[in-house]
Amino acid sequence: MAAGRLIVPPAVEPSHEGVDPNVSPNSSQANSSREGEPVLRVRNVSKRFGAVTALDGVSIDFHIGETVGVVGDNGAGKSTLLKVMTGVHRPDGGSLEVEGKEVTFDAPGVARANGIEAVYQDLALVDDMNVAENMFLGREIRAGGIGRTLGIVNRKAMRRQAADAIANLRVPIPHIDETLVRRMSGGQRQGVAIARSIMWGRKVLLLDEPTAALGVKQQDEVERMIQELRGKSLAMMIIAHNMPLVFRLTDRIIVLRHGRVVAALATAETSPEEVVTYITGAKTPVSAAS
Amino acid sequence: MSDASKIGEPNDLHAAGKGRPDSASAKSEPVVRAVWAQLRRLHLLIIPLVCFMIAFSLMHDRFLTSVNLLNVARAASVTTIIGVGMTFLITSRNLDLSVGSMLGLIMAVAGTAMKWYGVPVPIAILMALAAGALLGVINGFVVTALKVPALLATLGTLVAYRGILNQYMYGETASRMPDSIVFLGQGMVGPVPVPVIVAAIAVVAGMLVYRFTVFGRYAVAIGGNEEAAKRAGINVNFWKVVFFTVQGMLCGVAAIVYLGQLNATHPSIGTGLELHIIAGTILGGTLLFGGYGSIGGMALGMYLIDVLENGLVLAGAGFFVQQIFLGILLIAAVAAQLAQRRRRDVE
Ligand SMILES: Nc1ncnc2c1ncn2[C@@H]1O[C@H](COP(=O)(O)OP(=O)(O)O)[C@@H](O)[C@H]1O
Ligand SMILES: [Mg+2]
Repeated sequence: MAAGRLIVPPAVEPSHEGVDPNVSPNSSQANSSREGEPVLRVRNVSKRFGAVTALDGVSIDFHIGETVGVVGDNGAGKSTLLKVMTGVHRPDGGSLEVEGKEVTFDAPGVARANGIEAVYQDLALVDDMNVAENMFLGREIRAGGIGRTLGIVNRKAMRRQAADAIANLRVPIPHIDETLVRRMSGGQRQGVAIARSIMWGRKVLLLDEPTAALGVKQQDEVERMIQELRGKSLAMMIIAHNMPLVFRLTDRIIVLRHGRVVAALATAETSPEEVVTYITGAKTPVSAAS
Repeated sequence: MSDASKIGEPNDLHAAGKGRPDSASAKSEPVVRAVWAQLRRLHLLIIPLVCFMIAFSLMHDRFLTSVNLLNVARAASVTTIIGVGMTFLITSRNLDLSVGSMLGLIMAVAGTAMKWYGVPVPIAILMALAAGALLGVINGFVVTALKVPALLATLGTLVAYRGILNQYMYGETASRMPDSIVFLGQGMVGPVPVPVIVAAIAVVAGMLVYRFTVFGRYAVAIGGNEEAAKRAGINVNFWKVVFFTVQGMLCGVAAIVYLGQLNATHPSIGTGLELHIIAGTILGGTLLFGGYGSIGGMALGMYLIDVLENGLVLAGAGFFVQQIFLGILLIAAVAAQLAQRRRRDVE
């Protein structure tokens, strides 16, 4: 039984080093090449909080098999962009498209139903619950028959699947049974949040500063987890400040400044120095489209 | 489970065949730790409970008789039933101060329905549950739709529900309830009082619901991290209304039992009861800041309070001394939790 659950997904090539970043590594699949239809399209999105304009006409396309890095100064609008993409915030202007169809993420869970998952900067874990409960929060496996109507949850099945997901990602959590997330280290908590997003994210994975606030060893752990996801049939967005990390993990880099896209660069064709000049505003926009 | 690509199920698209099947094997250790965690939360309570019982039994040889202990359990049954709902509410980081007024109002509705209007007992019981549900929905509506914090919302309804009750009863009483109602409040099944059985059912059901249903799990999630619950797609406001509604319905159950116990109803019944209920719930280990609740602890807490009251009565102290003790108990329980939380935050 366990063997059946751990099958390697088909048609996914995990290694794609040296591949042109503009060409998707698994272009054998329909809809997955860079020229094909984006799985998620952010179009001219704006978001204001009172007098603050957090996002100002942001457009980015996300393609399966590609990892996009989003960088920018504090307050540039990175987290707001992510939250618009998951429906936490409604944009004031612009639109979102999933596989060519315009969508409105007006209720919590709509983005998730579209296969979009996020690891928020604050992780959005319930400290008072255990790993399995957090990973299945809002999507609990119910018991069968009348138990389903009564809202009875199948704790055993959830624990087993959560344990598998944690093991697959090699999150260093010794035993996940009843331990509350509160009792876990920063790296373990990050691992739980990432494992949750991977377990459910069918199309798009959004990570907000996944290695900030972690020790060096834990940063390496998390980076390894992300590295293993690259090239799978997913679109990824990683928000990060750590330039070497961004350059190791992404295919494209988007620079946000004061809520606008000021640069969209192929990772292989730019340098940390150039990206930093855009972040600080020393260099002005040339190619503000994605 | 090998075919798990259905929508709404977790995908194992990314399960890449390097799983370590031994990860879930260490089973007994977490169980032991979970039990220990429970005990650590309860020791606060068990120690004073035992101390008081020893003290009272030394002071009064009638105290430690099974008859008297069952009497205490009988007295604690009404507060325990209401405490089940309060545990879920406080776990979800809410509070209901209107429980005493709801109890009184529902008793008036059901009692007068039977005595003044000849409504049959089963219908009157349904009316009590429906009235409780309605009052609870109103509380939930004020908290979620009007966005009034639960403390103030239910302080408002505490006064308003009591006002409705006084307006309706105008100082009158209804007494001599039908036999079946009296049985629910005063009857015995073997050596066990019927209200104790009702309370025990409520407690066991509450424990199961807390642990094994989304109702209980969402109370923990909402109380633990409401924003995370929202982002997880949980309809937080809907569940809050549900928690308040269940609290109201449990007040309905308690109202029927209490109607039988007193064999009467009066507009002042339930006044001040909210503090008793909240004190017992907090004493039982349920965190005032949400995220953790203990139904079993609550039942012990309610029992402790009535042990105290009973012991004080046997020792010849009056109602006012009981009030002083209840106030001190509530403050002590909250202070202990605050200290525990500070310790946890330092960790
Ligand atoms: N919920 C909110 N309410 C009000 N202002 C907000 C909110 N979220 C973000 N902002 C503001 O929007 C701007 C962008 O914030 P954010 O997206 O968090 O930036 P970043 O993640 O790039 O550091 C900041 O000025 C921030 O203060
Ligand atoms: Mg941010």
